[in-house]
Amino acid sequence: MLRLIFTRLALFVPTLFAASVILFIVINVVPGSAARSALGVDATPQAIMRFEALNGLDRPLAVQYTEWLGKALRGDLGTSFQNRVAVAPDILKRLPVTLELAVLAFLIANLIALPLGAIAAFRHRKAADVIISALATILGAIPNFWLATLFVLLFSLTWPILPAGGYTPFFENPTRNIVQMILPSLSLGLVSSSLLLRIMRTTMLEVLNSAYIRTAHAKGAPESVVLRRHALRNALIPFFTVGAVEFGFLFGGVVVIEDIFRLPGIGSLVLVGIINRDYPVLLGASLVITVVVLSANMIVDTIAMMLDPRHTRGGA
Amino acid sequence: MSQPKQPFDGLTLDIKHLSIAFQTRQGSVTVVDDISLNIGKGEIVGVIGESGSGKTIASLAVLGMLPRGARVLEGTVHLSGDSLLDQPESYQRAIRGDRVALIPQDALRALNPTLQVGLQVGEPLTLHRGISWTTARKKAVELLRSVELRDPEQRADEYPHQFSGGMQQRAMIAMGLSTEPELLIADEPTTALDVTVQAQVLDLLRNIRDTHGTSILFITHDLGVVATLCDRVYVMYSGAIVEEGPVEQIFSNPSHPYTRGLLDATPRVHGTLTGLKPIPGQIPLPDARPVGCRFSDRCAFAGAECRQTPPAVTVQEGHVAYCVKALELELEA
Ligand SMILES: Nc1ncnc2c1ncn2[C@@H]1O[C@H](COP(=O)(O)OP(=O)(O)OP(=O)(O)O)[C@@H](O)[C@H]1O
Ligand SMILES: [Mg+2]
Repeated sequence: MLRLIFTRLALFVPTLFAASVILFIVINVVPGSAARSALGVDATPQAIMRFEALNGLDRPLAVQYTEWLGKALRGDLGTSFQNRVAVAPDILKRLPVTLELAVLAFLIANLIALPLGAIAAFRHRKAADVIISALATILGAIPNFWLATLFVLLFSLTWPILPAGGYTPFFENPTRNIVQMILPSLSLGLVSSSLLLRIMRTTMLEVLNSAYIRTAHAKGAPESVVLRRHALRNALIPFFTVGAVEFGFLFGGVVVIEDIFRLPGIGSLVLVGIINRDYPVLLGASLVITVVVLSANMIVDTIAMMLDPRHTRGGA
Repeated sequence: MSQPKQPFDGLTLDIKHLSIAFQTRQGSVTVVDDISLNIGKGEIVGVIGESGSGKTIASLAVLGMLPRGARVLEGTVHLSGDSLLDQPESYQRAIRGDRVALIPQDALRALNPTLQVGLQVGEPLTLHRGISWTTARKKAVELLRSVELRDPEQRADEYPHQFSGGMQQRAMIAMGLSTEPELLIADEPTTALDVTVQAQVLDLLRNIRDTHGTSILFITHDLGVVATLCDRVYVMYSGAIVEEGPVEQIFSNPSHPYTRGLLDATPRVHGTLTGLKPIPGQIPLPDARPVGCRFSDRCAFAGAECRQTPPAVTVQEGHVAYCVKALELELEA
């Protein structure tokens, strides 16, 4: 068990390294110039050359990467081309916003997916299953920005019960924070629940068809006991393992949702970084998101392992 | 319970004219066709037949656990005089795991991988006797001891994957015994085990019958197991019973060509390897059975008269073969 966790930790570093290399290459290969973005369209060639020399952009990529990596290892992610703000402290300040959004959305997604997926499997091919499966398909097809816009229209403009955006730190004003987070996390969570729901339904169906569930029935256990005592934990193990991946997908949505609801998180930083070709910002923000996703995967995987005695307890 | 209680005649299990069909897209497929089978108190009765002959489905009907799509067309099932079919689910649930217990084929897969074995063994007691988990676990240790599991106290807290195949099957048997049921249904309980462990499990089942007077329905492919364990045997072929009788009779005087074929194809019981003769052809699918005797298309003795529904021919007291030629065959043998 501990060995498995250490193995995962040991894989963490090379994964992160590979991710940073790929990000670095992709960012530099896509068309568009940082200098033009920073200096405006009618910048003179001399000005552009000066900008590139100043920021070291005229050197070979490998040299640029090595320098960036060396600094990054010391916690220095450089400064923004655009406004000369140090990237690392800025990200650190924005991290709680993004984490809160992602965790709340993931919780909402699971709260929807777990019971509905279980019910759909339990009522396989019956009306409830058909309705829930249709709902999952619809949720999966809705773009999160569309849902977010709809929510704003309905709950901020038509019936003004929830704010359309803004952010207050939790420790400054918890109630206000939660109220402001409802619409963003709901838009993101609802859309993310689609895949999780289908995963839960599939794993639960598999469990319900297994021999030990038949044993439980043969013992005379009522359905509720069969579900709670015998099916749930066994379905949760594969669910968590697969579901952890969805946490990564969810970050794709974070970028868009933060922008719509004007949340000062890392996601909006990524967006600004892309638009401005602000490489230090983009690279730093993407990398921190990678760290968060990898950590989340590890935590969820560890939970799944702890639920499974085949991992925690040795063989015969 | 106000159930049609037939006069109790000492039979633990009494199945009469049971037919079961699956509803498929192609229509209704009868997989158990008019079988009658009974088991006296303390009797071990074997049901033998090729894969797909309907042994498992018939036994699941007794438990009221037919899979989705399967339906009892007709027939009755009585447990010690109490009718089991056409009962509400709650009634059947009260019987399952209390008066009838199931011992399945693959014990590892039949045990919950994430629940301690002791809790699983004691669970029927919590369900049917309303005892606490603490007491149930204590009882489970005793039960595990009674099925000759070593270190039952430690083993009770372990998980199924920490057990060997034989130990898993012992745990399943302990679970089945927990409520001292009238009837054990063992569905190929030794198929997954190696020969020595298999022999130990069979011994255990025999001991259980001898000490508790438990009736056992033993489903198997293996004639050798039937010979060592069972008192009587039913031979099933493609959903129907083709021959039934005391084990010695069936082995010394098989009167249905299918039973003979089975014996000829089994080295351990009948003759040597040189005399081994597999039955030609394959068991027909339920929807492609020949008219009349369903074995006729594979039978070396088949003639025009086999296109009629085969009669029940009493070969000897308690020994019946469903074959027009049963008595002729006996002369030949
Ligand atoms: N869920 C199902 N849907 C449709 N047909 C089924 C289903 N389950 C079983 N059958 C059919 O019912 C028949 C009897 O199956 P059953 O499992 O009782 O055979 P068996 O004698 O127990 O075989 P085995 O020795 O392989 O366990 C087979 O022809 C099988 O194809
Ligand atoms: Mg079977």
